This record gives sequence, C-alpha cells and structure tokens, in this order.
Amino acid sequence: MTTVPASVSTLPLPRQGIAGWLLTTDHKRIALLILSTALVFFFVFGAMALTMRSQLALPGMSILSPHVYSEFFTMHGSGMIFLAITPFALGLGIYLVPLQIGSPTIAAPRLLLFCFYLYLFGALGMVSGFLTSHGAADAGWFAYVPLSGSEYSPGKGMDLWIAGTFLAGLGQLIIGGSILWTVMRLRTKGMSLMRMPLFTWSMVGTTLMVIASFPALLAAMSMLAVARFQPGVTASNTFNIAYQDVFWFYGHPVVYVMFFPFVGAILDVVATFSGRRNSGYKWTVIALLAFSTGSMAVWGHHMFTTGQIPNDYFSVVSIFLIVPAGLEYFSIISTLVGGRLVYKTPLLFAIAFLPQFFIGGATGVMLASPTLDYMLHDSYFVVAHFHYTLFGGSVFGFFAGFYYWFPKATGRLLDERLGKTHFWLMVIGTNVTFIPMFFSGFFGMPRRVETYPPTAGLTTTNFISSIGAGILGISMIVLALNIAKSLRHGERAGANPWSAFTLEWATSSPPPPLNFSSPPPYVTSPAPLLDLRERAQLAAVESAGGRAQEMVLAPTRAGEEEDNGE
Amino acid sequence: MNFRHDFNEVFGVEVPIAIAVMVIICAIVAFTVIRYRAGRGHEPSKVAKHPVAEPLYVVALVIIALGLSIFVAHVNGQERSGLGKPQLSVKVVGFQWCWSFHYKHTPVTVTGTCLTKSQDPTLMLPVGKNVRINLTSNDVVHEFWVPYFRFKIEAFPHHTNSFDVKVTHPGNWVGRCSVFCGVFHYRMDFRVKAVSAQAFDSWLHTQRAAVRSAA
Ligand code: HEM
Ligand SMILES: [Cu+2]
Ligand SMILES: [Cu+2]
Repeated sequence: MTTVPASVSTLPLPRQGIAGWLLTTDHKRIALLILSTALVFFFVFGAMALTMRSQLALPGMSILSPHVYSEFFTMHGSGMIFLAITPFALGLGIYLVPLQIGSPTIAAPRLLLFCFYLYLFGALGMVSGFLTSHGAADAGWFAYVPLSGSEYSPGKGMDLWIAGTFLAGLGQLIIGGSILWTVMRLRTKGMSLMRMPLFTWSMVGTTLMVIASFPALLAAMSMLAVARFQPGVTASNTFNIAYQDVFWFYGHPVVYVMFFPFVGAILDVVATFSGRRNSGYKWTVIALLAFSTGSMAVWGHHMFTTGQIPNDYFSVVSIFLIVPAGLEYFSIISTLVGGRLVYKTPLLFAIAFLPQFFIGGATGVMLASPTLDYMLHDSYFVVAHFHYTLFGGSVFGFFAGFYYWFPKATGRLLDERLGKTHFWLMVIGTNVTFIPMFFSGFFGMPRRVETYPPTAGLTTTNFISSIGAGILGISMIVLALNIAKSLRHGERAGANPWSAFTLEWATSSPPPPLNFSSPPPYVTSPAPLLDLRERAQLAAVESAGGRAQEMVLAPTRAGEEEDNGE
Repeated sequence: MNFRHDFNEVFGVEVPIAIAVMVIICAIVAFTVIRYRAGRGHEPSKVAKHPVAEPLYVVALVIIALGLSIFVAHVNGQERSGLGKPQLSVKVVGFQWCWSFHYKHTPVTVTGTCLTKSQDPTLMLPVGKNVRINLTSNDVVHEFWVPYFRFKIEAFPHHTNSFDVKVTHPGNWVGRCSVFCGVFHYRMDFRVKAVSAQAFDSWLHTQRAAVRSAA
C-alpha cells in the first residue's frame, strides 16, 4: 500500500518539445501517444468499413476487387481489435490508474514507452502490407491455417501482418503487466484494494486477462510463422485445429479486454452524474473478477462447428457468464435509480450502452447455444452480435470516458452541443447499421463475402445497413470537429468540472508531471472526494469534531455548491 | 434431419426471454431517466448497498443460467444422438472454390466450378432416408452451410466430420461456404435438392450409366 518509490523525487526534469513527447517517461504522455495513435487508426479502419458497406449497399457492385475487399475486411477487423480498441482500453488504464490510486508515476515507465513503440511499429508493419505487390494480409483477423500459410497466401503482406501483430501484442502484454504492478504496489495512503475506484478495478480484471491470454496470441503468431516457413506442417489436422484453439485462447479473452475498461468508465461516469456512490460496489468487484476468470474458460464457443471441441462444456460455461454480466447491469442501473441525473454527454453515452450492450449480450447467449450457433456461426448474425458488443457497447463506453476525462487530460471541456449531436447520430447510426445485420445473417448471408446475388433476398437489409454506416461516418466527422474545436477554444475545465469523487479530480487539469502537487487526501472509501465534501459539511453543521468521521450521518446536500450542472 | 426442429426449440425459448428482459431494461431506464433527472430538484440517494436484494439477485441469475444451460445441453444431446444406421453415405469435399459430392459404393461424383449459378453443383438427396454426410476438404478450411437445414459444419483437410440428415419433404435449397477460404469464397455456392426415393434411385441409375459409358 505504500507508495512513492524514493527514486521519484530524483527523476530528471521533463524534456521539452517533440523530444518531450517521444522520449517521455510520464505515464500521461505515453497514454496520450497511445490513445491518439489509436484514434487515428480508428478513423482509418472505420473508413475501410465505410468502403465495404458502400460495396454491399446493392447486390453485384464492385467498388473493390474481391482481393482488395479481402484485404480490407482483414485489416479492418484485425486493425480495430489489435490497433484501435485494445489500445484504447490499455491507454485509458495507463492514463488513469496512477491518478485514481494517487500515485505520482506508473511502474516501469521506460518499458512502457518501449511498448508504445512496439505497438507503433507493429501497427506500421501490419499496414505497410498495402505497399507490397500482393497487397496487405487477406486471411481474416483469425487467419486460420492452412489458408494463411505460404502456399495459399504467398504475399509478403501476410508476413508483415504476422510480425506486426506479434510486436503489437507483445507491447500490450507488457503494458498489462505494468498497469497491474502499479495497482498492486503504488497505491496512496488509505487506498486499500476495496477502496479503489471501479475503473481501476476493471483494469485489474483487464490486465489479469491480458497477462493470461496475450501470450497465446504470441504463440499463435509463432505457429503462423512456422506454417509459412514449413507449409508441410498444415498437412496435419492436429496443427490446424491446435492453431484455432491457441488463437481463441487469446481471441475470447481479448474481447473482454476490449470491454472491461469501458464498463469501468461507465461505472465511474454513472456515479459522478448521479451524484452518489456506486451501488453494489462489493458485488461489482466480485463480478469483474469472476468475469475475467470465466473468460479464460470459454474460447471453444468460437469453435462449435469444428466438430472437434466439447460443445456442451463450452456452452454451459459461456451461458454462466450472464451471472457476472447481470451483476454489472445491476450495479449501473441501481446507481442511476435514485440518483440526481445530470445529462451531460458522458452520461448519455453510458445510458445508451445499457440497451445496446444488452442486445449484444443476449445474442451472445444465443450463439453460445450450439444448436443455434450451427445456423448463425460465421454469418452476418455474428457480425451483428459483435458489433453490438464492441460498437454499441465498448465504443459507447469509450466515448463516455472520452467526454468525461478529456477535460482532465487537456484542461478544456468538449463542446456539449457537438457532443450531443455526435451522440444522437451515433445512436441512430449504430442501430440502423447493425439491427438489419441480424436478419441478413438469418436469411443466409455468410460473413466476409464481397457481394451477394440480387436473387438472394439480402438487398433490403444490406441497403439499410449501408445507410446506417453513412450516418455513423457523419457522426465521426462531428466528433473530429468537436475535438479540433475544443482543443483550441474549449471552455476551461478546472480541476474538477463534474464534481466527481475520485482522486484524478483532486489535481489540476492537466495534472503536473508527477500528478499531484500536494499529497492526495487520505483515502477512506472508493469515493474519497465525496467523503471530504461530506465530512466538511458535517463539520460545518455540527461543530463537534469527533463525530465528523461518521459519514453515515452526512447531510444530504453534498457537492451542491460546486455543481455546475443544470 | 432434426436440426431445424432443435433450432426452433431453442430459438423459441431464448428469443422471447431476450425480448422480455430487453423490455424490462428499457422500461427501468426510461423511468429512471425521467423520474430522477436533476431538474426535479431532489437529492441523490445515500444508499449504496442492498444487503438483501443483491444476494437474492445473484441466486436468481444462477438459477436462470442453470436452467438455460441444462435446457441447451439437453437439446444438444438430443441432436447429437444421430439417426441410427445410415441408408446412404455421401462424401462431400470442399476445395478452392467449389464442392464435390461422391456417393459411396457408386462411381458417381457430382461437382462443378461455382463460377456462375448454373455451374453450382447439386447435392441430390432422397426424401425420408437417413443420409450420412462425410465432410472433408482438399486444401484450406471450408464450411458446409445449408441455411434451410439450420446447420453448418467445417470441412478440414486431413480430417473428416460426419453428420446425418433426413429430409422430410422434397425441395431445392441453397448451400454455401461460410468460413472465409480465399478470394472466391463469396461465390462458393451449391444446391441441395431433395426428391422422392424412387426419383433419387432413377437419378443415381442414370448417373451410373453415364459414368460407365464415359469410361
Ligand atoms: C455474455 C456475453 C457474451 C457471450 C455469451 C458471447 C458469446 C459469443 C459467441 C458464442 C461467439 C461465437 C459466435 C460464432 O462465431 O458463431 C461470439 C463471438 C464474438 N463476440 Fe461475443 N459474447 C459475449 C460478449 C461479447 C463481448 C463483451 C464482446 C466484445 C466487446 C464480444 C465480441 C465478440 C466478437 C468480436 C466475436 C466474433 C469473433 C469472430 O468470429 O471474429 N462478445 N460471442
Ligand atoms: Cu467468445
Ligand atoms: Cu469459403
């Protein structure tokens, strides 16, 4: 539970200018490097998706050749997972965890900077496939063998993809270690495990999964490398099916890595904008830990139709994940019920998460039932499922956090009007795009097809999906405008613009290089700033100092005077 | 072929549950959003624990998960029990980028190029007979999907996956490859045609004769 390593005070002064960014050991700057790189990739790979949706709008169109279409969906999928959403998840953790636990620094900052470069060069490697004569990788994000072996995918793009994925994955694995180490060793005074903010707890679950599962990604990429040097190995079914197992041993947990930190963000956001403590804190922590444990044991639900996996076992364990998922819902909703809800943009994103992620989760349970998966696997139904979880869920959670913490990181608030426009366009776009995909899949549309015949009965649903995608494209333009405008002209935030309760708001915005210019307050609960406020009011009401410790009797008008809400 | 039946059984339970829970969530959220908006000038609640409701809720979730998984595993077992001794065996081979269907104990193999609709190969099946399909691949992983059957399974090289179908009435359905297998994956379609047992026999007979005269 202690604290500041002695060496902190002897850290050299931060460098200035470009070098101050590229050689920084400040966790906040490293995080911003990662987050902004990831945001650029999010736009790039999103643009690829829009191109694909244009092609699918009507049957028989050929904007992209079949080959380039394969490169696009491969790079869109693998890029979003390895280079955009996972880095969003870990980047938020790198920025916020030390602040939330009151630490002046993160564990192993130089190593973390190195990880940023692993991620950056891995990403550039993957994307540089487009410059080679055969084009970029084109075997899908899970790159099954033998298809991804050198016999069937001869280009250099595939080699670059494997090497790039390995490097980026290695960087992310080490980042996981660094964050978990920070949580375990660098908490400030009073911050016991059960007094950590829920976002930090969600990062504990996330990093545990990273550490347990990302080595399997490295192993899978190594298997692919072998299959490219020695295509003969894929003459063995054992090798081919083992690849699928190893890949999904990473591939399932990573979907929760791309989900947890955003649930954590939402848990913090709902508490702040409800003006109260998170309801059901203890059960939420239990749920997060149970969820991450369970996530390691369900990978086979991606392989029901291989005929080479015990379907009953994986089905039952997957269905049991509704228990921790249900608990998280309980915590979010019961915090809202009885709160004093201030509808700033972050809260809107958090609220829309609830029904949208539910659609993703409920269809996940259907897919976890083998008799249904035999129909729906590898169809557009699965595409709809994971976009509801990842886009309707995780990306909405990410934006909740983005609007919430942007003022902390930049010192300026994002524009509320543009924010709400962005929000509503995204809600409409998400549902118009992804609801019809459930039907496309049910009507027999496989995933990863570059076109479909006019007679297949798929035209209407695809056309609607493409319109929705256009709306999503517009919403992202609004976001870009908002960022560009607010960085320069945004309203000044001050230390705690939302009257939030956790320690990252107990320092200036942006925080100084060592995070806190005066030591953070002694932590007495997961909402230390609320404690302070309540104690101050209690002291004001009763002038007797001894009773001030008892928060139970705190008067009710907590935080009123700082509340700049409506 | 009871995949369709088993699919409907599980779908018919899980979809209504999902919709019901969705309605409940939307109702609670809508109520909360209106009732607890800051504009009404109330104070936020101070209660952060529900010592009775929370454990009860966990128990309820466990019961639902338990019921659902027992039900799902039960239907799964019923599906896996198969149809008994097959009356006909067909070896189905996926390759880049089409299919071939070989009828066991006969010289008959049907294949095509899948380049256009008319070149899609047709898998002929007799109505009312237990048919065993033995599925494999010549190159990469493919996936045999007949949406009408509500069933798909992967075709691996150097490995055979088997399943049984029994079609209950005549028909003509589309089948496709559903796992990405290279650039022409999107047009790796085939047809499944079910005809009466007599019509099937005479079809097989003509095919045999054709093979023999070609030889
Ligand atoms: C209760 C929760 C969930 C359950 C039961 C569940 C179940 C499943 C199942 C069974 C599949 C395999 C479908 C198939 O390929 O036929 C699947 C695919 C997928 N899920 Fe979920 N899921 C859940 C939540 C999530 C979350 C939270 C995310 C991410 C934020 C997610 C992302 C994905 C992705 C990306 C795939 C597709 C992988 C691929 O084939 O490319 N799921 N899910
Ligand atoms: Cu999964
Ligand atoms: Cu295919």
